[in-house]
Amino acid sequence: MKAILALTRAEFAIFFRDKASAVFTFLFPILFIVIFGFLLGDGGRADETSLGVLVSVDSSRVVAAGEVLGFRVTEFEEASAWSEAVMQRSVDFGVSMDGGELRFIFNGSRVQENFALEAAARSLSSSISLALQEAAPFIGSRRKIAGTTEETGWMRHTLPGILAFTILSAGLFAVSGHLTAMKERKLLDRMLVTPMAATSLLIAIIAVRWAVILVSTLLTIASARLLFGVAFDVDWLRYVLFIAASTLGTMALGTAIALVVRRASSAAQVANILAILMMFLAGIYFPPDVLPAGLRTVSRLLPLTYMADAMRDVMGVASLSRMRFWTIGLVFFGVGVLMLPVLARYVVRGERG
Amino acid sequence: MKDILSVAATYVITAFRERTTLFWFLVFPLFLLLILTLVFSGMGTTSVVFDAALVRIEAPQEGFDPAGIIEQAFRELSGTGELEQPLFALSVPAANTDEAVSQIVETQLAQLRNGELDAVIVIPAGFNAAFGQRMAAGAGTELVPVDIEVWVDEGRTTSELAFDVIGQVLATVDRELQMAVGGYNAAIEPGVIFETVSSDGSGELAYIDFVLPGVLVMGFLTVGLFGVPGTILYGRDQGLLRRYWVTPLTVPRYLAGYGLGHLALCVIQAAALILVGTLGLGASVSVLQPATLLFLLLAVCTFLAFGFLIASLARTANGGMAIANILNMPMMFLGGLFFSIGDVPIALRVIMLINPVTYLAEGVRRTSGVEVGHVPWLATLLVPGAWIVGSILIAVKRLSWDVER
Repeated sequence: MKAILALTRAEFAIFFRDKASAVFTFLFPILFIVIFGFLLGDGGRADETSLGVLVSVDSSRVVAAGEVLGFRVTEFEEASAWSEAVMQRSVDFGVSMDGGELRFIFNGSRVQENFALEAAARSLSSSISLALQEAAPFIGSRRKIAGTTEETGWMRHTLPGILAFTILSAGLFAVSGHLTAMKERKLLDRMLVTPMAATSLLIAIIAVRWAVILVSTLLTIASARLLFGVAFDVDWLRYVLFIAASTLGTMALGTAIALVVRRASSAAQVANILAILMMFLAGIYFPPDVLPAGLRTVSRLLPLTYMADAMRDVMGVASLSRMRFWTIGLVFFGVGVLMLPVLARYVVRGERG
Repeated sequence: MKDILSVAATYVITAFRERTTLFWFLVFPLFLLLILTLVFSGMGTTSVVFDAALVRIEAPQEGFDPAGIIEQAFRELSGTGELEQPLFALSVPAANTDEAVSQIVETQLAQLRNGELDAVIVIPAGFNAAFGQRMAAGAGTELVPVDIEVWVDEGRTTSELAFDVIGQVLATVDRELQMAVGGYNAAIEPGVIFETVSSDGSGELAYIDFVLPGVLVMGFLTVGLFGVPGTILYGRDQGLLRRYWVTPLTVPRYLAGYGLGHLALCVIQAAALILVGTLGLGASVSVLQPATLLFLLLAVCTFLAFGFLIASLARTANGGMAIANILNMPMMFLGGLFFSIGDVPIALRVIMLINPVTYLAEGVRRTSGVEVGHVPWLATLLVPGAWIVGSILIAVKRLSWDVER
């Protein structure tokens, strides 16, 4: 026990001395939410869309229809100011009505948003067409939110995925970065000639990773709360248990990498590459549904996909069936536990071992 | 000259021998270009099939059945219709079973919450009667429509897109019904024109044409930000550079060779990206113009100098990597490389304005015929130039070429 405590203290010191690891674990997720939270926010919905209307004889109908649909409407007297406002993003899109023609203008550079804005413009066009004939729609669509709270949004959906990525990185690098580096620098050789058991070192490493991930994810959640007022309905018991299980599981994946790639620096790089590829394909930034069919299949094979799903569940953003959640958790835990003897036998050994 | 070429060749050969370096400078930019184009060019098109459930609580009725017309419209747009590329994968759970209606809705909403569905459309009880009353009320802009409930998982992209598409389907059905009862005349509805505006009048911009110049600049940024401190600091920490200094090779000649090798890598990277972007992904942006190539060269020089700045600020290779990691994300995402940036808080705007990436991406885009931002022309040259001069001055003063004793 004394050995484990000493090793745990040493592991903590080593972790915080490695600036790159500390940056990745603590700063990366916070930096991410700060940048993307402000850049993307929860924009793109009709109730937040701003509309520039060019004043004309018929523009009052356009203004009225826009306000009914919940757009923020600004009127422009001059056509040049109107189109400049669209180009400068003072308004999301512009509309003018001249006799029998409705003209919508969009900013050509808003390549990733124009689809949603065009959809909003079509709704507006339908409303104006009806209003012109003194008609009103027979059928309306009432938007209802299925989430646990009414405050879901981009940040709430993305943050659990980012936390899952933090766990993945920390778990992978615990073995394929940290342990293999110890091996390469002959530190393991020196430690293994002492009475220290390989399992004591492993327990210390796992304990430190758990603690670090827990603190890092909590800091990230707190930052999201403080900066953007995003609250999560976290099931803390399952949260802690899942972090423990998934850390073990991702360490098992790190072990597999370390067994295949023998050089420490290469193992860390391979782990980094795998983590980055998974981040793009596992639905962290954008949903796998928008990927081509082949990549959707790849997405379903990635552990990060399931980790993100489980994190969304424990944080109250999406709900998995209890059976599915515990299956994911147990698979990660089971793989981790099964891999520990392999880790102790083949990775935690000196160069001569 | 031979020694300079030799250092350059060593730099390039090492990059190709190291598989991980090869990944970061070649494979990753190509992967990013591909994945971003696939995602953002495909979003909102027929490549996405929305998983939706339609719960019809309103019972079918003989004769005119508005709820049935709506159900049929969605069926025709789904896999159960005759479309070759359906818009919806629609499930219509039977609401006439013993199971309570509320239970059926709750089951569908649970599936929506756990991501199995993108939207749940509920035609409420009493819809047909309410529709009949609404229709009988006739024309009048103040009249309230009869609502269909569309449940979404707010914030999930495909769910938000599904809501927009469902709204358009309902608007189309509504228009058809209005026409059928003579309340609406399609012949006199206004013509609708959609246009895109840009300061150079180039109009509609394909995402690939926007992102290709961005990924080119990102590639150079990554090579400069990570490659330079990596090579110099690891070389210094492991005593590799010291071996150079016992040969007749001087630091300026080493730097000339290093810079040449760096440029060669960037040329290879850019060639691969342009080839895949134009031939594979259909980019039409003209990046092979003299002015664009000059901007790309300016980008190479800026990030090379920036790499030396980081190397001069860090005491160890690990420290250098940490600094590079911290700077990478804000520089990349606040430079407008992958999507254009609108209103941001003042703190982020300041970062954008001092970020050389903003100006280089803008310069490359403008010279290749993509007008997106509003940075003054002169600034696209002056700001990166200032970074080059500032970085070199600091690096010359601070960078140590040998391990401290």
